[in-house]
Amino acid sequence: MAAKIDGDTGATTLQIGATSKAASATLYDPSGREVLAKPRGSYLVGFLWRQTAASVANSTQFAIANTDSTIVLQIRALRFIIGFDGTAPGAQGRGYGIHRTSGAVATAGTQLTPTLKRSADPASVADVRFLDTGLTTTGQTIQGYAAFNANLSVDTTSRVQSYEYQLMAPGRRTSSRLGLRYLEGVSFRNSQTALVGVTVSGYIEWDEELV
Amino acid sequence: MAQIQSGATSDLWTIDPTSKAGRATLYDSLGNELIAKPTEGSFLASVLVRQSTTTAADAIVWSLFNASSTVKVRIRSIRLEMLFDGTAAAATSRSYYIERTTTAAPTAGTAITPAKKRSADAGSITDVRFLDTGLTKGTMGVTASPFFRIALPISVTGNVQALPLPLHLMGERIIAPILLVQNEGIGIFINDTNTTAGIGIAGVVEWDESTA
Repeated sequence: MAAKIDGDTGATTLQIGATSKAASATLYDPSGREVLAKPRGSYLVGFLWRQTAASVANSTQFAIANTDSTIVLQIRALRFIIGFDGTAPGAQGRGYGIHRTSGAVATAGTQLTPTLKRSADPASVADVRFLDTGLTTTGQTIQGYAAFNANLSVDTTSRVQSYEYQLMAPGRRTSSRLGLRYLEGVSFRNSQTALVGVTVSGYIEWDEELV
Repeated sequence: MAQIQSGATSDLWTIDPTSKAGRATLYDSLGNELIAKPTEGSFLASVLVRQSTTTAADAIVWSLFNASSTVKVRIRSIRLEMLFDGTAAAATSRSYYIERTTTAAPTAGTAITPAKKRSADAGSITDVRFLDTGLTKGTMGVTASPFFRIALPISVTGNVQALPLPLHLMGERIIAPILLVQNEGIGIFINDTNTTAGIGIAGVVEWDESTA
């Protein structure tokens, strides 16, 4: 005897693949979230700045923030390189703290337009901008302790190092990414007084989903 | 004891005899098969460009373009390293960026035949080419800001630095890759007017081609 399985509404019946003889399945976590759901949109943005002046410590060189109360940004990965082409000051290091922010979006600087991974998706709601001498952060609360720190020895010119923060893990969409709700963001802040010639390049990858 | 039959056909569900597990194929809730083999093929193309002479800023030195109306290209990963073997220039860094391209593929330069991951697959439908002094852009356009940037200090010679862009994770065939539909591509551009021969970029781009 063969039985067919109906869904709870009775309107849809489980299908078995003709070749694989496998039942169709969709993964959900126990809270009811689809584990491999397609997001509203997926994005990348590249960044590049070179310290051109001795900016004070803890100024914000790069910021990404969510400008839409109906959307949550989910950071999948952050990868970048710090290089140094200037005059070595001796046995010192220079680096950046990558901090969570909230309350307001940074202003001034150069604004970037995120790239859509799929051109048919809606445009990103993220505000992304950079300025080597420091963005304006009026009204912004900056989490005091950095989520990540990246430091480079500048004891000789031409040092260079890559930094990789892969957050998204296979099958862990709902628990591994760094979520940014309305007016929340992530910022690069120079940990020490900036040194002319320190250069940062790389990219951020994220998804956007309805809250 | 009942056997489970498909709601659409007469096919019966298989329980594997050793594992005693029912077979399952993963779909997302939109009906996309998540671990499907690409219908057309899977490909690799190498990147190796060394600036031989002065090159203008925003010259496109490497391009991959999809002109097909039926095949979709999904970029799985881009892994690049920047290098410098020229005469050092004090207080100077140089960089490349990657940006989406549109409308038409650039021309001239050297065309590359992408390597197949499986020799029985069809050839790639992409146009891939490079030229260190810049391909001919023609009507090619660009969209958004660059999505990848890599910079290298050239205050000494001999530096090299890698920066990977792995996109595709397990089960994320639809979600994670960069999707290139008809008349979309990606290009590697030189960022600054380059007066220093010996800057270069090398690596690999990996993608799948599928009709769905």
